[in-house]
Amino acid sequence: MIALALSFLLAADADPAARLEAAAARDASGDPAAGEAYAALLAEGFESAALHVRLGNARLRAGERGRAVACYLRALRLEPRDASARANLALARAAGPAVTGAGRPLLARMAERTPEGAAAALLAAPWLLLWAALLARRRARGAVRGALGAGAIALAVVATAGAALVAGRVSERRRPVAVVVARGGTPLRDGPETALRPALTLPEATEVLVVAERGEAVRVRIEGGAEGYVQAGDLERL
Amino acid sequence: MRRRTGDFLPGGTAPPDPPIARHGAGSSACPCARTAIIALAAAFAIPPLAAAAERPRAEASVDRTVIAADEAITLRVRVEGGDEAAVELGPRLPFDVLSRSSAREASVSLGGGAGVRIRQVMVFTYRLAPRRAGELVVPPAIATVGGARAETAPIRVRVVPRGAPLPAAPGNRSWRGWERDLALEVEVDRRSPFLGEQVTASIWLISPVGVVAYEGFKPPAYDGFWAEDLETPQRLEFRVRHRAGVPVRAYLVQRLALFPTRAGALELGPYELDVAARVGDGGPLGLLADVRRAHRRSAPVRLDVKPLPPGAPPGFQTVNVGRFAITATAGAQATAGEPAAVTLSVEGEGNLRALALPPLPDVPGARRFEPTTTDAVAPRGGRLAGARAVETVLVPETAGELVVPPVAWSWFDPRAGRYETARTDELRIAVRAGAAPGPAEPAADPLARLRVPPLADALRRRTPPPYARAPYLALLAAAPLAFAAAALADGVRARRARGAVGARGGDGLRAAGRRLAELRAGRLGDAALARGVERALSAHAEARLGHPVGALTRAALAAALAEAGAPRPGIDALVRTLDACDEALFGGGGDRDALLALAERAVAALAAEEEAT
Repeated sequence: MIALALSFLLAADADPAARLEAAAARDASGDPAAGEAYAALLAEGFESAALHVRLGNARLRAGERGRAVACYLRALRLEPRDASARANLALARAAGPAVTGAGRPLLARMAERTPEGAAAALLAAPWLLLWAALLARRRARGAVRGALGAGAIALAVVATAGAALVAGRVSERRRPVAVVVARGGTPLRDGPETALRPALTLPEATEVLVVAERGEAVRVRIEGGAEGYVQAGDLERL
Repeated sequence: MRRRTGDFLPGGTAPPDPPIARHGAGSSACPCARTAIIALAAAFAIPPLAAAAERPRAEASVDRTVIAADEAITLRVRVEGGDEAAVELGPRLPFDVLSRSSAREASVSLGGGAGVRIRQVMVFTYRLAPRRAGELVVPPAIATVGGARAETAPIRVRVVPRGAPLPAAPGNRSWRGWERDLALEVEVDRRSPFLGEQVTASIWLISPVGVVAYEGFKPPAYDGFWAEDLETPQRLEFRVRHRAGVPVRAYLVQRLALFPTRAGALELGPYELDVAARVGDGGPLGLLADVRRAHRRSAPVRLDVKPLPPGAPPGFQTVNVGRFAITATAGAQATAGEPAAVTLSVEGEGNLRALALPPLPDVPGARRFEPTTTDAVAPRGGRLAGARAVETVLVPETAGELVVPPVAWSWFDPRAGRYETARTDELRIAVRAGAAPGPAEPAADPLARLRVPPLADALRRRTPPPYARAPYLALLAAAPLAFAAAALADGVRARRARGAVGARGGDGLRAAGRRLAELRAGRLGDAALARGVERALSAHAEARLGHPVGALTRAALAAALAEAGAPRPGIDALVRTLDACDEALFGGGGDRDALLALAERAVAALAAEEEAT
């Protein structure tokens, strides 16, 4: 026990970069403990799309398709253009039946696919230029003043679009998405009572939108707008 | 069937009485209108507010307290106090929940000393089927509204065995009669089938009255059977049957083909159905008919499944039971290296989806791939019939002739009671020369295609997104603040400039006023007076503009004064006075008092604006 505790302490104190490399080496050899090492790094406050994707890979190899999909979706929240996350998510979804979160509005889809840095720059750059143009216009005369006014209007339009993207990103971050992680799927019922006969079974890796939580029952919305209750333990929140 | 209700208030306390507002036309103590209005407003406004602050109240009721084991009750839980209520029926519910629905209502009550009370009410409706006969208890339902809880009282329900007489319902004779004769029945076309032989089961709803709808159809688990749907009517149509000489309506709910998968005694478990029936004649237009709901469960059906007789031919599989014919087909020609399909097809009656067809034997000179199976199954005369085809792809390796040997296949014909064996014809396929096929690629493992991202930059501390960081927000806020600061600085600068000009103008005006007073008091000639007036006003203009004005035309002087902020009436008066001075100097004199008055009006007009500033 003491040796085990010491090993944990040593592991916790070890250089995170060294632990990451050790986990990658285990991962390459197919050691399922690599997933635990990635999860530990994430729990310590490290976060990147690469870490999430590697954890997702480990979970997928362990047969945890729903948890793997959750990892890939987290990676895509961080880096919407991450090719590895996108490709592996497609592979995980293709490995079995699942319901995706498709069918969202255009702005939501655009925000979902825009990196956060790009959205922030798309708001900040035209915003700063807009005020600079307004300031310059105060001191300008004649045709220059008119041109600066027109430019300010154009910059205001672009800044508004940037603000909409940032708002979309904020909404995307706060969107209560969850993934079914129960191996055999989870029954969807009309009410929170477990005595109710399930209307259908949501397969593992199904993406749902959490509408409300009532104790152990969670009201969710699935693709197509249908709503029902599932057990909280069968879901993993993003 | 007595309706029973129970209600319970949390903490066992009575709901707080809302404030009572008394008012009336006959009140002599306070006759003023204002008091009456306040009282009236209190009567309407205070009770709803007080009601909103009350704790939730829950009440449960069932439609019947004595039912048969194959019937169901309707439980209604009424929750007052909010439109976001939730109800838990509890884990020890001795009933199966067949369906659940909820609805919102607003309860408005007037009078009773409580004024107007408006409360949100949620009504949860459950259909409950008993799990056993006996004295059952619907346990207290727990209602939750915004964190506050309320419980209903338990309700006792007596469940009598199926078919046992029920006590008569008071006040409604028609109810008991139709309910007693309403039944769900299962008919099978044979009770002793062979293993794998089709048993056609028909589920009938027998009703002495018209059925409006049925729902919640719950078939059994089909333990020991392979079930295929033959017919499920989409419309409510009935046939007339006679029971003890009385005509009743028989509705076909479903017809199934059941194939026993094991020999011995099997039980086809009970089917369950919720029925809505129209009771009574309903008057001339049928508008007064009473629609009643009932739950029915069929009696289990026992089958004695016979094992297949001995003497099965070699290779026979027990799922091959029915009446079939087998054929083999293939194209007459093929090309070396390219696929050619050979199809084994079985047609007939039986459990086609479960048939085990023989594999195609190895064909010399060709590579064989895993076969694919397609079914075309459809009911025919109450029997499950159709075809099952197994297609095997062969790739000839060389030109020449492929010979597909005959394939023997056996099945058991339950009608004839004997085993049958059929053999396909030998197939010959002419193979033309073609490109030799390459080596087959191994099946790709999807997990091997997983992308592994590089480790570089994988260890980053979790940070908020850029748009949520303070420097970014400060940068966004700095831009309008800088603009506002610049605008403010410009304004201050302009005000200061106007102040300086105003001060200079004020001094000049006072000097001009003093000079005009001296000119009025002096005894100067007309020309000297005109020059003096011109000098006094020009001095004021120079003081305001800060530069000499002698070289300016009247129009340029007026424009310069206007730009310096001088008022337009004063400028006009000043220009008219200077013109009058020129007239006096070069036009042969004029009225000196008029000139002085004009000059004084100009100074006054300019001074008025200065005072306003």
